[in-house]
Amino acid sequence: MEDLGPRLIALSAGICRDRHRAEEVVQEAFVRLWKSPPDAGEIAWSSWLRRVVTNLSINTLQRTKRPGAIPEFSEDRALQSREGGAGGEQAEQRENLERVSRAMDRLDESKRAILMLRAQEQLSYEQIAEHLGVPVGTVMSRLNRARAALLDEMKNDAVDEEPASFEFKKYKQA
Amino acid sequence: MTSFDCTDIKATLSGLVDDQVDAETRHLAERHLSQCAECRALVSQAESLDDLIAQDAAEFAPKQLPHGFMDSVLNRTVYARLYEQAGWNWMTWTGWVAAAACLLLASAIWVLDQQRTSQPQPNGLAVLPPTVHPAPREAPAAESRSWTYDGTILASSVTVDEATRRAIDAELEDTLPARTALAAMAQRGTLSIDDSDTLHAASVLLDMLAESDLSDFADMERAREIAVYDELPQRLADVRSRLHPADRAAVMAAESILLRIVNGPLDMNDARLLRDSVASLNLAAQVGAIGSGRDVTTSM
Repeated sequence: MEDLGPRLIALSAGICRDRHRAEEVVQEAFVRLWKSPPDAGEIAWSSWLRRVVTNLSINTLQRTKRPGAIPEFSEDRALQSREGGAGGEQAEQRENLERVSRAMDRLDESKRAILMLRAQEQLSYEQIAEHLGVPVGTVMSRLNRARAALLDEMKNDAVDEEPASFEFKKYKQA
Repeated sequence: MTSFDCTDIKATLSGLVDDQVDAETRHLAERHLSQCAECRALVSQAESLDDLIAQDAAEFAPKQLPHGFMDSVLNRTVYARLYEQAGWNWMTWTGWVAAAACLLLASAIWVLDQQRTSQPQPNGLAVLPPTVHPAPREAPAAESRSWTYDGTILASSVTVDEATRRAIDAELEDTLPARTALAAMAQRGTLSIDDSDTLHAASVLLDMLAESDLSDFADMERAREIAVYDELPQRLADVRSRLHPADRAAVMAAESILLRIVNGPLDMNDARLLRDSVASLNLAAQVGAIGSGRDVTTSM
């Protein structure tokens, strides 16, 4: 539990965008594992837990029907970035990370889930297909849509930022 | 398909990034990418997405399980099962009911007991609890008042009149010395035969000292020999620890005198002083009385 727990919390937090909720989800997953463990040989406990955590994370967001993702991650990162004051490549990397974080905040939970399974859990298409119970082709198309949506959000984020920076320059020149 | 455009690149973006396309598709895509900077930028950006997503999640993931996480899971699983197996819930429920019933029963008994003891009887006395043994005294209901005995008789609310109270007080006062003597006798009764022998031997020796002729040291020397032989100072000290406190002073005095004689040296004046002390204190009689359990009036 001590090894798997933090990793599962990270997975759930990536989907929920809320660490406290992620902890609750992972707790619930461990409780379900205790109450009704998977049959031996059917599926590894870690895979079973990952599937339960993914589904619970998605379901808990859908059940609460939040109007939008809580921008907890992106706000925290922006704060860290301002406080860090890094320069050069590090600053650019930090900026990219902030943009991804904000874009993830705005994606729906299903897209976040498949992106997390691929990027954070580093599952293959086949594993994701087995995990979600869908064909590999569906995984490919869903993942493609999720990445495209994320890139769109990042582009929109960049566009949204431009007027602000422009206004700031005008202000400085004045 | 013989050529790729920007739409095709977007449609196969994930496949290209994750190397999930066949060789022909990859060839066509690379040919388009070599001519389209925008699509190259898109693919490059897509390739970096996974790392950024992983970093995004990892930075806010805990390094270890949060505080209380394990306890919470255990409470909902292992401990809950143990409680269930032990019938804890059932025990808790019945335990509370049993405790409440006991409390109710105790309260009811107390209330009934209070009512019974406080209710005046035809002879003017309250009914006493069965464990109390005071002899009920007849008294008129008039002028009666609540009065508590001095503890010898355990009655909490004996109702007697003033005359009866005075009679009881007088009786108590009269019997006080007798009761004190009985208590002393009871205390002395705990002495063993050996203790009594020790005290008796000391008494005889002290009597001999009181009657000793001090023209020479012969009697004193003889007393010393007896005390040493019988180990009287040590035996008296041992007996003294078991005596009633009121008797210890006399024994201690005898013990000191014998020690002085045993340890020496003595001159004639010392000898006379010791002899006179034994005689004036009547130590022989006192120590003998303590040993025999008789009551004596100490002069110390």
